[in-house]
Amino acid sequence: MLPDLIFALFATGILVGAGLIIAARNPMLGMLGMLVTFINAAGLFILFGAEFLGLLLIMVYLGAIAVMFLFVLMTIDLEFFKLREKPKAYLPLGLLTVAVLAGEFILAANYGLFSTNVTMLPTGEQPQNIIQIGNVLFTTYVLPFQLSGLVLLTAMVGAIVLTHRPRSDVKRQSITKQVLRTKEEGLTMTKPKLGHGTGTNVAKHWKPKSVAK
Amino acid sequence: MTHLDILLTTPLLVLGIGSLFLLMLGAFSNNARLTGIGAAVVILAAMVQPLLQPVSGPVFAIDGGAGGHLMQVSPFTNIATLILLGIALLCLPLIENYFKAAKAYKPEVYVLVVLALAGMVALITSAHLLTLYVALELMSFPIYILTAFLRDDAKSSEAGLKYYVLGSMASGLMLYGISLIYAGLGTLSFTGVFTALNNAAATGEAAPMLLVGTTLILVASLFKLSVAPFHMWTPDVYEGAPTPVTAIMGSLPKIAAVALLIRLLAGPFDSLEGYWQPALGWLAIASMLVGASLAIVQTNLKRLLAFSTIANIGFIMVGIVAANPQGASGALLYLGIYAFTTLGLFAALMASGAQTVNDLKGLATRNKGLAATFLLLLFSLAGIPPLAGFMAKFAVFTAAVQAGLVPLAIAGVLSSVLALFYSLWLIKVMVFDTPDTLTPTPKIPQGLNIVMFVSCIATLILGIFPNMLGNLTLAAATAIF
Repeated sequence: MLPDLIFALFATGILVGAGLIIAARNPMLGMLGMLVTFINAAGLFILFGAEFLGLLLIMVYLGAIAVMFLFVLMTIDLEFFKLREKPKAYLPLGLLTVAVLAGEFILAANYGLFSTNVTMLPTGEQPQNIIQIGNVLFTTYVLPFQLSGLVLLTAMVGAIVLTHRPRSDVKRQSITKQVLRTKEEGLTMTKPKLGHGTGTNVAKHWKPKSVAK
Repeated sequence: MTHLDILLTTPLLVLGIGSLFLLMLGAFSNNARLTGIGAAVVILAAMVQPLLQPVSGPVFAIDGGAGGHLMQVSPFTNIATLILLGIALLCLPLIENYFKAAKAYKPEVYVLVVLALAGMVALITSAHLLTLYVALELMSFPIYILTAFLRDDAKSSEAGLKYYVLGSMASGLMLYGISLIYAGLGTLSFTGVFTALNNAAATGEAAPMLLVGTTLILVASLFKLSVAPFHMWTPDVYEGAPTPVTAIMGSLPKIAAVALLIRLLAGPFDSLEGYWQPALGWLAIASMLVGASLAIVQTNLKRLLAFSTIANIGFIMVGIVAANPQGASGALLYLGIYAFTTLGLFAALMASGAQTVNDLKGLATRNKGLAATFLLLLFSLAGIPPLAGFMAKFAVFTAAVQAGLVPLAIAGVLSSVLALFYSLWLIKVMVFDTPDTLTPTPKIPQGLNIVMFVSCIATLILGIFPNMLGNLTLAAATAIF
């Protein structure tokens, strides 16, 4: 009884969130609707015993993708109300997509197109699937795992190479140089006479800013 | 994981760890040339195991081998890896001068090339759709980045973006295909898919979902190969990318993708031959004719070479479609020969400094050696005996006729005639047209000279003794059928 109620709660949450995405006039509000949808979907996953997928959904979709969306929305200057001038124009296309997808699912499920020998993760009371996924990921599938590590490395190298520009007009701090500086390089000892200053070149080249103009 | 797993994955491990080493070398020395030499050493080191101890066998068993394997090393993958790495060595000398002139000569160029090579080696040897997908991404990403490498050049950035968006779409299609196959069969390993599809074919028709999945996977591979209906990105990306990167793009990923396609069609999708053979046959014809006929109307030399690539990939597809050892061997032979011929052509292109066909006017009076190189390589690409290109085409067509695919061979001959037309036209422009200027071409950098020299020598030697490579590829191809 209780799981059914919780399911109903999450399912309603998903529907409300999805409705909000479509109905919201302000894209920011639509974004919040998307967050609600994702959180509730994650809740459903956890309810089914796939807590790894649920947490992943929260981390990737909420933590990364939704925030990126928000960031983009804040950066670009959208004319919010122009976006919603013709909401009905998209209705046929949307309905068509829904019909096709629904048809596909019903066909696939009814005619037994889905394989039955898919290895199922244990369901129900065993909160084990993070451990199980970790086990196969680091033993059997270590090769694709490491390769995807290299893909991420490539992405990092690429991001740096394509955006980094060495600048010659900026002074940089070199700690080694600072530490290795000797007294001879950094200090000049003079014995100035009273009223004559140090007499080094520093004084000759220095001018007050107002004069330098 | 056993010690055999480590031995068999040596090339991949050397390239993967080598790329990390090169990254550090580049970061601390900030010396791009040194990193380039390091990259050559890493590639040579990766060639040692397949060359000296070419063992084969399945690698990284799933459930003790019951669930298939993640990788499969065979004589075929060994020879493909060797061809790939050999061609990669030939790519390296092209890089320095161009990037120096563009003020973008950074150590990371070489790091990215080695990373892409790691992806390609993984792609060639993969025996699991998961490994295949990750390897495909590892192969593509560095090349997207290299395409956009000249960030101050709008064309380079545009080409990078275009390649990235379209390439990601192809990856998405492949992933969708893989997911459909997993939903239908419950397995992702090549052996598992092979058995399941065989059983399905024995009991009756294969489920439509599986056919859609197979199609999507093949389409993504064909996109990487730029076979005719999926070739739209090729001319734009080739034109915009830095020329050495275009040369790399036109040779290395093609070798990996062709090797993969041959293994996919001879392995997991073997029982669906009745479905894919006619379809791929038509695509091969389309590719050969579209590529060769559109190459004729190009004025930009890089675009011309892009269409020539499309036509040549069509010829390679003929070998693949034949689905017999001779065909696979011919495809590999064609690939090897085609790859170093194009590299030589790109080197000659960079040496002449020409952008459009008109820039080549009267090259023969300005630099005889360079014009002769162009002539030799263009004739080889068009398939004039006794050059290597002819032997490659001969091998592919023989296989097609043996498999009873005469229309393919006819379309191939037509396409060859078209290819001969634009080759001769280029040669006419170089030899008979009056040059706009009589100043000799600038001194050719050493790196380009090496590439052109190796390419010409290989064209001549393999043209006269094609069996030097042909016997190896035939033995390798026989092993997978």
